Amino acid sequence: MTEPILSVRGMSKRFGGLQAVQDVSFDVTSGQIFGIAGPNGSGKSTLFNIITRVPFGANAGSVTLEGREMHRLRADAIALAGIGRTFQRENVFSALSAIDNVLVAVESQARALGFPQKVARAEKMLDLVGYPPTMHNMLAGNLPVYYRKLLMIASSLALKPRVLLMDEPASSLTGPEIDNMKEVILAIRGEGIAIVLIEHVLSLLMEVSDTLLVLDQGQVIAQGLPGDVIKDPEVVEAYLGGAYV
Amino acid sequence: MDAATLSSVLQGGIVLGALYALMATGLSLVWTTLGIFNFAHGAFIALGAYIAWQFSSVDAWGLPLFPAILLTLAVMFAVGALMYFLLVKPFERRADVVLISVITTLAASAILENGLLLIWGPRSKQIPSLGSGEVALGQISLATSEIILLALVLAILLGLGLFLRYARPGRIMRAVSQNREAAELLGLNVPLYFAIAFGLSAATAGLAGVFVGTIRFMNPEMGTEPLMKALIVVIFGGVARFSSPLYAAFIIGMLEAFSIYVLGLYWAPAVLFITMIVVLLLKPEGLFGNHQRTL
Repeated sequence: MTEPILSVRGMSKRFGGLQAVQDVSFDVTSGQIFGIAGPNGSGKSTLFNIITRVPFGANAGSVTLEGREMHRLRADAIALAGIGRTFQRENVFSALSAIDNVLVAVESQARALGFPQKVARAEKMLDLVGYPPTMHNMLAGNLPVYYRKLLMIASSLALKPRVLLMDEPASSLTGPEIDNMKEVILAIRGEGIAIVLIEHVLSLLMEVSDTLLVLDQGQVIAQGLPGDVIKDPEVVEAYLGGAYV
Repeated sequence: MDAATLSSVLQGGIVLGALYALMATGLSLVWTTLGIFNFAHGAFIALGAYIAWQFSSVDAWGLPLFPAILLTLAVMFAVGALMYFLLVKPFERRADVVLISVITTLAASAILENGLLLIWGPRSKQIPSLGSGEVALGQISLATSEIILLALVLAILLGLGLFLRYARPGRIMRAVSQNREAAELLGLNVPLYFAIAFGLSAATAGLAGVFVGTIRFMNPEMGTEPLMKALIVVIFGGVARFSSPLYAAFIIGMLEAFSIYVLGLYWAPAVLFITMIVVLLLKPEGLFGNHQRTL
């Protein structure tokens, strides 16, 4: 069996009386797209939060990336170690230009490079996600949603992550944009980067995921091949209620 | 008002504007980066003046003035960074960080001012002037020290602006100020850049204190009134952008100089506060601001 690149073990997070994530464990192998589904409020984004420690860490559990413990590192050190993340909302530096957004990431990852090489790498990342060169100098805050999402992904890729956690990259997108986003996800996988993908657009999630994990009320209720998981009665009940089982 | 008086009032307004620009820039830098107001900014102004006096006065260590100013800037930067780690960082993840930082920075202000009193005593002090003599421009004559002060302030503010716009740490500080979460996810050590912002803010406040100390007598509360003026400038100009208070500072400086001439010294603060209230009523984000804070 292939060695996992990312191992998540027993991750839990409690907010007062609410157990948002409870004892979640999974492995991601190199180049894999690992899908995570679940109803609203099931703890998917909280799981990403506690893996990356942005904005908070876990109450219990561990994360290892290629055998290296991550859960004791600061958030910025986790990012530099190789766990990238994008948000559901377009989390960009709105008063910086698109190319400056990516440059910030390049500069934190490759300080020794000369400025022209840094710009070249930033441009390469933007090209990889299909961001138009004519829009490099536009302020990120003025970009349409789809391009802000691409920019956020390109910035994450500039850190050369081994694993990229993508939180609902297709949310708020039109049909054609979702199709483009699928190509972007596959292109990232083509670079050898493993992806953990949270997505409410189930068609996209089913098409690209190699493995699917379903969360409900903070707990894993199913994990396996997407085609099998989606038929699991517990998953159907979590999504549609008991009447449909 | 004859030409000589007008020239004198304008001169006073420009010098005041330059000093306010320096003070307000530091205050605005912390606000735009960390989202808090630093009420110890006035104490930083006084601390900078006393440290520069210690370095430069013939009654103390007697260094030449300009090396003394550079050393003061370095010490103030370190003090500012330390203050961030002591007063703000422990609370920055709390929802009520804005309120807590009001208390912690006010406490720091009281501690610093009393510390100054304890170390340097109550007797008034003055830093040697930046220059002596006057320069005649036609019928107008300008004090050399004021010309040097103005040139230094403009050069420093320009340098700070260029640093934030083009230098790598400046670009990162702008990024950190706009979106902390995204910055952390891009591998940026956010507390380090917050500490740099606090350090730069303290250094500019200290420099303003040095300049004030060259034209007025110093005392430990010398930063209180400038802090009020810096607050007026920042609110008047808008707290949203780094550059907004710069324009506002010169407008407020001029307004104060003319108010003093026309209405007298005691009415000038009232004029400034009324102006600030009117601006808050008509344009709450400030004359040059917008609703989103960013460097």
